[in-house]
Parts: sequence; C-alpha cells; structure tokens
Amino acid sequence: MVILITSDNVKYVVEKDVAELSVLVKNMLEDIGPSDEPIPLHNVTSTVFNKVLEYCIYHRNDPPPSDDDEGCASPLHKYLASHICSEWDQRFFDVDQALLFDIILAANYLDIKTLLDDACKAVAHLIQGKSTEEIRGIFNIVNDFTPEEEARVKKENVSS
Amino acid sequence: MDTPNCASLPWQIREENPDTWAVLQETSGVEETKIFRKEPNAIPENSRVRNVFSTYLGTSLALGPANNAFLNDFIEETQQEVSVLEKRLQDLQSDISQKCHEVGRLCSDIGRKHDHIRTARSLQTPIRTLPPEVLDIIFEMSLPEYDGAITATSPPLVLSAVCRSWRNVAINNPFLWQDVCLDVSRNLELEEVEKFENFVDMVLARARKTSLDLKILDSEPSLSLRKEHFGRRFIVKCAKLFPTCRNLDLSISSYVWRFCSAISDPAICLFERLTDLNLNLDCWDDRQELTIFENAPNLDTFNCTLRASSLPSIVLPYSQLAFMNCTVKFSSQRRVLSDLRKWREFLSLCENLELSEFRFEADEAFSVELEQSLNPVVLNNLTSLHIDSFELSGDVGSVLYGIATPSLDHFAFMSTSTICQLLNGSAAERISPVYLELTQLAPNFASLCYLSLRLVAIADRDVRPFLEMLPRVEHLHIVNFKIDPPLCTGDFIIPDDTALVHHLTESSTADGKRLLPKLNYLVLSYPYHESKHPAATRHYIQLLEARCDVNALRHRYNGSFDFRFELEFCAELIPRSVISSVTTEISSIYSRRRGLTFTQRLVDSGYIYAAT
Repeated sequence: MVILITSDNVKYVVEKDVAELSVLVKNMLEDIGPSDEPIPLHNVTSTVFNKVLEYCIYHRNDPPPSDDDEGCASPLHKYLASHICSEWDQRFFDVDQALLFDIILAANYLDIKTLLDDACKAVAHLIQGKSTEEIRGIFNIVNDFTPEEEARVKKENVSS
Repeated sequence: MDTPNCASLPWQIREENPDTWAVLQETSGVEETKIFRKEPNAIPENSRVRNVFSTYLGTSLALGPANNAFLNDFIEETQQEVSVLEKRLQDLQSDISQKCHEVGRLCSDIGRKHDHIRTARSLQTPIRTLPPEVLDIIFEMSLPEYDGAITATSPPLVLSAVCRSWRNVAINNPFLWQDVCLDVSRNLELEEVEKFENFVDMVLARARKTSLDLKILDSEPSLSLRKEHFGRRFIVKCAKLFPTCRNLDLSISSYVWRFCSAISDPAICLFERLTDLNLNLDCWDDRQELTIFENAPNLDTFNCTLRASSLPSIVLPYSQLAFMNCTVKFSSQRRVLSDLRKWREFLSLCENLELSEFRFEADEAFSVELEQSLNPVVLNNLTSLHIDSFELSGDVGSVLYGIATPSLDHFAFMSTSTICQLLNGSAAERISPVYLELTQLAPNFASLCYLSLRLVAIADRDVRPFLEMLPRVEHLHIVNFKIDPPLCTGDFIIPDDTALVHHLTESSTADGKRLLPKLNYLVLSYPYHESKHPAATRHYIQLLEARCDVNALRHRYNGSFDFRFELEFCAELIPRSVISSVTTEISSIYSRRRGLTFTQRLVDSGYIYAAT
C-alpha cells in the first residue's frame, strides 16, 4: 500500500499497482525506496483526486498504451484511431467543465497518460464540428482579436 | 405658414394639408406620424383683430389706413410671440437633446460594464487553466479520426480563429496542418485562386517540415473544364506542396487530368518524400504518358483505379513498389486479351512487390480465353495476393498462370460474376463459365499459410487433391458450392462443404495421412438446405474434435493448441432459431475441449451466396 496526501491534507491509502499508474508517484516510490512515508501531491485537491482514483481503480488492469512514435503522423492521432472510450469513460467524464479541466491538470501533473488522453478527448468532443462562435460560447472565451487581426483570420479560409 | 426647424429633434412638424398638422416622430428607428386637425376658423383672441377679420375676410373691401396700421402692429406683436415660442421650443429641443445624449452615455456605460463582466468571467473560465501543451493534445484530438483534411470549416482553421492564445497554439502545432484536401472545381474564380495561393503558403508555413497528406479532388468536373485556365493555375499552385507530400491522393475522376501537363516539368514537380500515391485515372488519355511520378525516390505504395489499356502510359519507379492496390477496368470485349497482357507486363515491372490487391472490373460480361504463350512474371518477394473481385468470365488462368510467387503466404480469390469452377485436370468437364485449373496453381500454393476462396466450386472428387496442395496452410476460408447439380433454395445456390469437412475429419484420425496438418483457423459457411441441415452440425462437431486432437498432438510440447472455427450464417435465409440451435450445439464441445474458439458471423446473401 502507498500513502498519498493531497494539497488539502486528505490522506489516501492506495494499492501500489493503482498508485503506480501515475508515473510521478512511481518515480517517487523508486526514489525513496521501501518506506511508509506519505507522498505529498501538492497540485491535487481531494475532490479531484477522488475522481483520479476512481479512474485508476477502474483501469488498473488495462494494457499500457503503446508508444508507437514511428512515422510522421502525430502519436496522439494514432492513439485516437485505435482507442474508443467506453460507456463507463463517457459517464466518468460527464462532469462540469471546471472539474474536467482540473482532472486534466491532475493527470498532467501526476503523469497518467491514459487519463490525460481520455480527458482531453472528452474536451475534444466538445469542440468537434463546432464553429468558432460556438466554441467561444461553450468555453466562455472572449474574442480578443483586433479588427485588423480578425480580418486577417477571415482571409485564411479557402473553398476546399 | 413656416414649419418650425426641428431638424435636430427626433420629430418634425409640417402642414399636411390646409386642415391638418403632421408630427413625424422617430422612436428606436421606427417612424411614426401623428396627425392633428387644425382648429376651424382660428380667430385671434383680441376683439379688435376679430372685428377686422370678420369685416374684411371673404370680401373685396380694402383696409382703411387705421386698420392697416393696426394690423401692422398686430403682425409685429404676433411675430414677437412666435419668436418667444420658438425660443421655448429651442430650449425644449436642447433639453431633449441633452437627455438623449445622457441616455446614450448611460447605455454605453452599461454596455462597457457588461463587457468588463464578460472579460472578467472569461479570465476565470476553466479552460484558461490548461497549459499550451495540453491544448495541443486537445487540438490534435479534435481532428476528425477519418478524413481529417483541412477544409474551410475544419478544426485547424476554426481553432486558430477563436482567440489569440488558441491561435498561437494552433498555428504552432504542425500536426494540425499536415492533412490537406483541396477541390479543383471550387477554386476556379480569380479571387479564389489568389486566395488559394495564400492558403498554400499558409499550409506550408504552418506544417513546417512535417510531411503532408494531400488530397486533390474535383467535385464538379464540368465546371473545371469550362474554366480550364484557372484549373491549370490551381494544379500548378498545388505542385508547390508536392515536395513535402508523404501521401498524395489525386482522386480526380475527370479530364482535369489534362491540367497535369502543366506540372510535367520535373524541375517544378518533385516528390522527394512521397511514399503513398493514390490515383484515379479513369479518364486518363492513353495517348499521353503520365511521367511526373517517375522520380519519387521513396514511393513504395501505389493505389490506383484505371482502365487496363492505360497501364502502359503510367510511368512509375516500378521496382520500388512494395504495396499495390489496383482496380483494373475492362471496357471492350475486343481488347480484353491485349488489356490482360498489358496488366501482366505492368506486374512484371513491379518485380519487388510484397503485398498486392487487385479487382478486375468489366463494363459488361466480357469473356477471356487462355493465351497459348503467357509472358512469365516473377515476383520473388510477393507474400500476399488478393483478387477481391473478378468480373470477367472464361479462364481465370489468363490472370494467374505463369506468375511465379515462391514466397506467397496469403492468397485470396473471389469471383464476382458467377461461381468459379476449380478444375483438377484439363479433362474435367467445364460447367461454369468461369474456371481455373488447380494444378497450374499448385506451385504457388505450396508456400501458402492463408487461403481464402469465395464463390468457388470444387467437385467432391477433387477436394482431397486440392487439400494436398496446401501443406502449410494454417488459415482456410472457403465458400464452396456444388454445381452439378447445385443445391438450391429459392433464388440462391447454397454452399456445400460436406466433402471438405469429411476429408479434414477423416485424415485427422488416420496417422500419416493428415491433410492441412497446420490448420488452426477454419472459416466455413453453413449449408442451410434440407439435404444438409441439421446433420451438418454433427459433422462440424466431429471435425472440431478431430482437429483439436491433431493440434493437441502437434503442440504437445509448447502447450499451445488453439483451434478457431468460424461459421458464417446467411441472415436473410436462415431463421434465427436455427442459427441459435446450431451455435448452441457446436458450443457444447467447449465442455470437453480446451483450446477451441468458435464464433458465428451473420453475413448477407451477397457475401456468400451465388444467385441461381
């Protein structure tokens, strides 16, 4: 078992194989060797860590993602082509935007590649097929282009 | 009567006619007109004036000097009163104008405050917490999984137009800009061609050194032909992208190919990175050579749809090609033989092919006869040959005989015009219009591990010799029919593998005479016919028991003895209850056998059944 402490001082006792889905935790465990010392997770609150833990427990037996970086295509695109989110994953990521982005930040910090990819895919789903205006509306983004910049952006389109 | 000057006010007063006043008022951009009736016979209040008016109005009497002087005083006095009233009106106008400005200023203040709130909220929006490298991941994932080419509404352009920070991330991620799809016929106006030139430069700049996947299509060929000049200019501009192309798909099934003469200059047209080339040369003019791809030093994959007669005019770095997927079309009975000769010549040039797929399509039911002397073709590296569709009739040997493939591992053949009869010996009776001599193929079958034959007919007496030709086969997929006489149900001829199942079962139990000793994957099609069902199920079970024994014996020392059996059921013809009872019965073998996998697959009649 591994003891993990979140930024709001909540202590978690987690099975080692689950904890080691995080490359950050895995490296820390290797660095400190056999020890009962709790591992602090400075950038993750307990609210977010609960979700991260739920994901790691559900996916603990998944095969590791392959790192097929050959060729020039984006590895992420390749990953997408072969990976389809399950119904469980879809339900898991059906949360408000703030929590979804916190999960992404936590996955990025903890270095859990599959969680990061799946969460990013959930955000990508929100973007796919949307217009610029719709995307601004979904994420509450302000158009900060100057009129000259905006005109330049509009000129980029071509009838393809 | 003078109309008061109300130009600065949002309303105007004017005399509509002798009886009415009209007041024009504008409220929120909408004009409204109010009509006021004049007081009839308006008479001033002053009694002397009233007296003068009543005496002289309506008569031709001239005013006396006293009355004249009196009226002069009256006019002067009234004018002074009008001046006072106008002054009051002006003050009122000024007041209103001031209020209007005040209202405008308030509205503007409110709008600005709203903007501040929106900006403040946007700064708090959760997506801003994501670092650029995570946005990069999201952007890449937002590309469509299939056909993710850049078009006017595709993600890279949309993402780069959201806000400054997104634009910065999007235009600095070359992976977003590597897949480009362009339509010739939509860029045939001067303005569009000029815009397109900027677009090409933009793609090259943003993709940086990443190799491109470029698809050029022509959705409206008639339009492109009418504006040939712009079409040429478009293609020439596209050529700027060619040196960075990894995949080039010219799906131009029109005479736009004529424009390609504009890029035939090797100095303009370089394909240094090209590995995959996809051409639709349906409309290629055979008299013209297509040479622009001759110098593509890395090209190894060629996918093409073309007429067989065009083959000699397509010049490629043939010996580099390792992977080929071609649809070859035949359009004339008179030319079938010469066209097939051209195909064989083309194939012989591609001496280093490793994997190939061909489809032979015919405009009509053309027939082919075997030539006396076929030019030999040697493909030493070919490991996989799939003929997924064969629409010609006659001797299939014109395509397959004389092709030496000593390394052939995978072979698949599907006759699509009708059942292909596999003959064993030239004396065998030819019943089907499509036939193939098995013994001629034997040398190529010796190395096969995978064999798929669909819509074929092997006579019962030839099944065993056929299986003996396949000593190394591990995966066999066969949809075999009996054609003398055929097993028919309604409009369909039913597949029949009775003899095959019998030989594979019997030989498995007799030591030393095993057929297909390495077989570990068998795919058959269920013969739902009164003369076969339900006994066929029992025969399958016996076959599986026997093959499990063979595999268990063969793999005694390495512990692996999996045998996979897949049964196809025609969903249109076989009731679900029958499919269920057959699969349940076959699955019962699981309780007795380890290392067996059985799967059922529902297919449509077009996939496995021949029409009567």
